Amino acid sequence: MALLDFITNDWIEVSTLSLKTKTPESSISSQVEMLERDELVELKWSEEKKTELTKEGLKYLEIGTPEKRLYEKAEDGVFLNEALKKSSLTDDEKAIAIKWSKEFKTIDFRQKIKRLKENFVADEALKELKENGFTKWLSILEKRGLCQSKAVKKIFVRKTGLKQERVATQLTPEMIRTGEWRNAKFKEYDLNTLIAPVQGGKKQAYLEFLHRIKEELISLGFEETHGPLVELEFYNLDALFMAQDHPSREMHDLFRVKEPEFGILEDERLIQRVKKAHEKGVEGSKGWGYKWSEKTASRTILRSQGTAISARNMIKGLKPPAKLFSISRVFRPDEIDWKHFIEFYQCEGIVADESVNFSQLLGYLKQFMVDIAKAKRVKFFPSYFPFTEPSVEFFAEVPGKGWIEMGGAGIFRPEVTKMLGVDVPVLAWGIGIDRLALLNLGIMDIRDLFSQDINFLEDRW
Amino acid sequence: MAVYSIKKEKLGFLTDNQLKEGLPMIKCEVESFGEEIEIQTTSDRPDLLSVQGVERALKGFFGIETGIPSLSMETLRKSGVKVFKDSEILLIRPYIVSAVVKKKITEDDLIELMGVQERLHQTHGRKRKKISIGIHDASKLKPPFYYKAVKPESVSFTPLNEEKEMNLNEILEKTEKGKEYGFIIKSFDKYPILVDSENSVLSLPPIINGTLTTLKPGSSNLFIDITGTDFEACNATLNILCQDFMDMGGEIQTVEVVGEGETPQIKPETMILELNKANKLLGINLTAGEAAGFLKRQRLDAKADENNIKCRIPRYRTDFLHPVDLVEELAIGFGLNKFEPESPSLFTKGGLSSQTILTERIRNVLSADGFVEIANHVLTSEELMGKCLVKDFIRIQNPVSRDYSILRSELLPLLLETASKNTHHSYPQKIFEAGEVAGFDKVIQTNLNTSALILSSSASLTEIASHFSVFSKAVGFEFTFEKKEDMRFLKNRCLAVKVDGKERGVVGELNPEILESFGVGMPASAFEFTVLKLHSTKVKP
Repeated sequence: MALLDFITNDWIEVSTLSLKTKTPESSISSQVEMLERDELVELKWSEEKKTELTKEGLKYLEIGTPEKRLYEKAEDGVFLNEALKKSSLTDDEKAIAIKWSKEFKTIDFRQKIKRLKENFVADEALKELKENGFTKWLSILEKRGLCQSKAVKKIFVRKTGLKQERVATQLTPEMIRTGEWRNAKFKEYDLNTLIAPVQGGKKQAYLEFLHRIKEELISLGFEETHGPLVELEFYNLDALFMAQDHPSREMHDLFRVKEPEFGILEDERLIQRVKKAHEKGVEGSKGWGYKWSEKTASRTILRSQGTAISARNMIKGLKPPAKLFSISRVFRPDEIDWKHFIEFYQCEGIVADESVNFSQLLGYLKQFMVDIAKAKRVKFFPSYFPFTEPSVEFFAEVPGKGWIEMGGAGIFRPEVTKMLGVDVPVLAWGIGIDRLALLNLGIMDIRDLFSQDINFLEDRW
Repeated sequence: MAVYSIKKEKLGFLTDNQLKEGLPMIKCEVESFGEEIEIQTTSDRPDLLSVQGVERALKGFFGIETGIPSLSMETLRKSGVKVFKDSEILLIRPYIVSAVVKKKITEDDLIELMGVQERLHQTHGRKRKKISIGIHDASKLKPPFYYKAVKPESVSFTPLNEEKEMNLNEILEKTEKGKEYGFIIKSFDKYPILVDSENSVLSLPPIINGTLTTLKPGSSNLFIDITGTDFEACNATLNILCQDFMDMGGEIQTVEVVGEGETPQIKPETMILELNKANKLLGINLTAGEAAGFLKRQRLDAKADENNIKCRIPRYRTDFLHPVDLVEELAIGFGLNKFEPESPSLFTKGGLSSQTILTERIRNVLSADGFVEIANHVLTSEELMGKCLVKDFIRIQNPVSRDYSILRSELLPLLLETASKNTHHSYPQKIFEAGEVAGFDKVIQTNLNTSALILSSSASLTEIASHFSVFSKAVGFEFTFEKKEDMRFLKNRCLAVKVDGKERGVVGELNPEILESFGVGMPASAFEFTVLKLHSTKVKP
């Protein structure tokens, strides 16, 4: 029998329906709510107060309240201490017994004990409540925590008299084909449960930021390039005229690869040019005056600077005018904390043409800072990089953030360009992209750029 | 690069504002400014490692004192002191240069000298490997001096900060400096030593001096020895110290290294700057007179002769390899803030690389398909790759942490790591990464990979395979699936992806054992695919 068959034109309580249909009350409640939405039944609610004894109340009902037990054990003429001892009450109960004996005036404690009258209100109230479900002393029991009241919701239901229609939950192709949809009534959605959380797809914010920078750079006419993660020292250092005893070539500034330890340098003419530039100099340079080692140059390392990619680009051959850039990961041993990590992105690039000069380099840097960092002003200071001369570092005034160190730049030394086979001046620049990303994305900890927290990736960004 | 502090009062000839403006313009970045000014210098300028050097450069920059400093112009008096060099030393630490300085040392000078010496050792001296400095009170010494190689057990002396005599082996083993710098000479049978005519030991270069010649406030007869592996570097260091002493009011006298001549060698180096080339490279238009003036502010000597500016460079400067180094001096002397940045006008066509174009397509299609993008580090750990049964990868020789000791060769293990950190997050979860990986198989290879991972109670091969198919269309390749057994995936629930007959990837339902090892209690399906082979480097067989 369907639930509806148990419901008549007279009000019936849901709990009664539950008993009749042998269905849990919660299930009946939700079913009648659905019937109500379809206007087949109507509902009314009422609330009743129901009072029950607490655990303590039940205990006193059985063995008597502490004041009653004290009265029964006490004898007139003894001291309170003796009476309490004899009563075998617990310490808590002793306090209770004294308090309520005074209140109901059952015992006089003033000198020696004197029993007055058997006025055990609480005991009577407990009995009454248990038997009748009601007592006029309810407030006393509540105050002593011997009973508690809670509201009980009752739902009553009766038929509205409307005919039951076919209620559809879903429009089907079948219904469209047969035209049945014309007679169908569609079940109404519950607005409270309509929206189930769905995980949407999302692109990673830091990579998006880097992509925006790439787009700024290509709009300025730069072409994107890449290089390998594992480099040879040759491209990373020697090709940039960094002497083999240069401090930044020491172990603590480079990650060396365990296996294979050496790669192969293939272009013999290039090797000879680099060797000569280092040992004796090229193009009016004195060189470093030491014995250059091909073996050292062919050691495998993790790329430690983006400029390695520029070196490769120059070796491959430039067709001036050329403007190239790369945004690539580099690796350097360092402390690991909120400001430093051993793997990070570098954005660097070159401009090569017979016409380029230092004033233009400063112009490019200024333009980058305006476009990428939304900077108002840019400051330049002299600096030192082994492969550029003159060299500068630049700071940008970012709205709301003040002056921020943004990167370094310069013109490749003639030794570099000459040994790599480039005949025109080459401007080289690098931007500290991680710092800019932190500012842009409003985060403090550099490690959050590579967060693995899906919540963070979905919501914060 | 070195960071150190200077008392502001020592640069009291300039105002605070002048110091703040001037210091960064002479390659001294100001780290903090107060009664103590903390500066960071660049590694090409060891002459800025002393307060005298900074003062000298600042005076030039503000035009208070210009041109080449005094030491280069003097004819130094000969001290008559000789150093004899033993031929055996040539194989160990071949060069020595020396000078005698007459200057009464105050306590303040002493602190200053110790600082300069240490900074020069650490940077320019390559932690004493290339250069080491000894400054001695010569009053108790009997020249001439002998720089020679001796058997470590054959000589004993009391080293600085020690109470009793030790032989050279003991010094290397027991003293703090011996332990720190002993590696420089340890591999030799004999160690370098500097003694006087009565065999009193001045020093065991590059480790430590003897107590006999310890400088004290009041010492006034100084002997400097600089030993090392590169003559120019040794001589430049001696020039730095001598110029500093001269600026402090000391008198410098030369010492003869027998067979090689008087040191320090102070004759300035000459280099020609071609004005037209310099103007072109800088994009400015200075006259020869203006240019010479700016170069003098950089403490060089400059004489203009039409287009050629003949420059004389003091020997304490070590950073002049090529005339382009004079161009930088000119730019700094002119003032970097006086340049007018020229707006870019060189036309070229820009463009993204094919790697980026492809990566963007992947990022777009997978994020539109409901996947959240993850960016993980390339550096990761052997343990992590091992949990996903990946055994081939490139290891780092000198990692700073176990967690970052190898290069990732696949992306899926990192996505599983990501999943393991998000078990509190609601399911289903869909994540992906498109990024570079590296591996070694005959050649060192950098590749572009993509991996995607679905964690859901209904994760299935069918579902991930259909996502893969969407992905393949966006990237633009055709593939076939083939049955595959792979311990990482459930049996019968794993397929190889083949492109033109070659296996390029895998799709499947993950083996619960893998999920368990990552602490993930949710069924999962995933793919990993090599999109592009990017770079390969040949290696020695």
